[in-house]
Amino acid sequence: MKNPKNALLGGKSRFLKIFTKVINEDPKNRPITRRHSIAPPNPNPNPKSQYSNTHFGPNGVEVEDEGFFTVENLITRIDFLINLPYEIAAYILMFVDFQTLCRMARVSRAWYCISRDNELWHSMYVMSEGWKTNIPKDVLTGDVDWKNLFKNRHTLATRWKKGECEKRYLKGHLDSVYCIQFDEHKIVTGSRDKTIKFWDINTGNCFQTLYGHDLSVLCLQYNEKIMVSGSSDTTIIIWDMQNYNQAVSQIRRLSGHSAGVLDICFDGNHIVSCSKDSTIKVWDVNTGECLRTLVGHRGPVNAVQLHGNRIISASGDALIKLWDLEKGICIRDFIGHTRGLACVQFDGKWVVSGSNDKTIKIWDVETALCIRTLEGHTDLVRTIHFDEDKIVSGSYDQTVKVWDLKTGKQLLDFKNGHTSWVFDVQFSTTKIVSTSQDQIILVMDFAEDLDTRYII
Amino acid sequence: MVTEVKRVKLTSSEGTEFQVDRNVAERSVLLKNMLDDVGESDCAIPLPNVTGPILTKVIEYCTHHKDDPPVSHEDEFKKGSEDIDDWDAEFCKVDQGTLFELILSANYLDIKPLLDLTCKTVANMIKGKSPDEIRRTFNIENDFSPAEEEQVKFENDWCEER
Repeated sequence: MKNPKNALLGGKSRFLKIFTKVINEDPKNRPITRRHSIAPPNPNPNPKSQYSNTHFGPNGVEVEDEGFFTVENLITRIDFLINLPYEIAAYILMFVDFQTLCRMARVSRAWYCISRDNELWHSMYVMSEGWKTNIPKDVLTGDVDWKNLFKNRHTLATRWKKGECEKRYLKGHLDSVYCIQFDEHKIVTGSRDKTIKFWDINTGNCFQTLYGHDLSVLCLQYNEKIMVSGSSDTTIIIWDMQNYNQAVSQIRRLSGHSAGVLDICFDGNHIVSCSKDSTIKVWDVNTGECLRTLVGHRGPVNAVQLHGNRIISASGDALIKLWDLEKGICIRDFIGHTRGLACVQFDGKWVVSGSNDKTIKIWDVETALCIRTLEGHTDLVRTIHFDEDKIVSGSYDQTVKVWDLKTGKQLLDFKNGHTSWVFDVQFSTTKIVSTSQDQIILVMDFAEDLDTRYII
Repeated sequence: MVTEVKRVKLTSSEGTEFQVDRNVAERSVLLKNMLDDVGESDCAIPLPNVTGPILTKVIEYCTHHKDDPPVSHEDEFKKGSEDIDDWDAEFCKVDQGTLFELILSANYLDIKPLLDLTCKTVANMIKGKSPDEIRRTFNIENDFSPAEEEQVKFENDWCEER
């Protein structure tokens, strides 16, 4: 015979505490009579009965009864969570939602304890779609207060839903702020004042200003090693980012475009740049050598993105083109926008673009078919950033809007953030940061006062 | 050729003998393992943890579900507690004592789908209720002091934000 420990939820401490209550449903509504019978942990693995109980018969006579179920006129009420083995009680709670768990905490002291079960909140968190964590390796998941983490994540989600955020303005650039990238520590911006500035994302202080370009800094991208910036001065500068707190030095300057460099993108091997000169250039990120020039657009190429062996580009000629990085040839055109394009992003499956026709379009990269057109902006859509759930867009209509990627529905509309054209926008789980012609960087923080250490 | 339906004998805690088809009994992982171990036998398997009325219910469940494909726990959580078919819902319309014993028996006999069903049924008795309604449903005493009650309410108020 197999050991009963093979039972689903383990055999340990099957009956921690036996505690049943039987109440007499009395039409005269007398106070409920009840009697607790608390048995010690059962040492016998095969008890004759799961639990015994004492109750009062209809005449108030105490009856010892094992045949519990044959008794009529009695409504049994059992505190399941306390009487069942802990593992089963916790298992039941796997089927309730977080709101119920919170309400359960208010039932009694015992329910308060069980409703806080850390493993339970852990799985509740993990099963919530799109909720990721960033727990350092030296922190055991068992040491994380999962209910608290869930609470913070839930509050964050609620604020996104309602658009509740703290606005902060970073001032320091002397002209339009064209481009931005940020991470959990810093914000990096490029401006028409020819500089690149580094800001502490927590204090909002500018701690680094880079001079190098002779004209507007139009685009930039960085990782932990390098930053690549493009300018109206037609050059691209590669910067050393490894000690960005102390100093950022120039590694190399790339020349080749005959007009302003409007957008750049890089990965471990290549830099891809696009220009007002209507071309796209592919550079070796390590040597700085120009590997090839992609010709095909009939207007300035305003935006470019690199994804694996594919380049996507958007131009003033109203076309989006998909290119093969290695071969340098155009694979297909995405036709649909009625005016020039300002921005494009590509995640390997979906292409999202913004145009001077005031719309945002979502395209299937394989078929080049437009899946959806998002209408709502009242002027050129200058910038978009999207993830698997949402699109954030910034427009010359001075607004920043948030859209549902799957349904295309407009979720949020921030109208009073900027006083001029919005040039660039980027978001994370906790923030939206945008830049504008009004020379200001706007940080909209949805996580004010929340502990988001482990949330990404 | 007629295939002989293999029957298995089970004895409840009171000593009452039940006969079931082997494929019905094998819904219980505990019984399946036992039968695999001992092979063909006329001996009744004693189930001292299960009373006659409960064993009757368990057999009713296993008979109805004898041809179900296996389902993983993971899938069950994803489906949530609302997803209970009509027969199962009807099956669970029992008093709390019976439901309690069914949970323990499903766990002991290791019948995962029955454990899921009964646990979901209890979960549904809790869901959507205020603390007070929960107390009434299960006859639980509120043993918080007024100060504690206030504190616990404050601690858990965030869940009401939607």
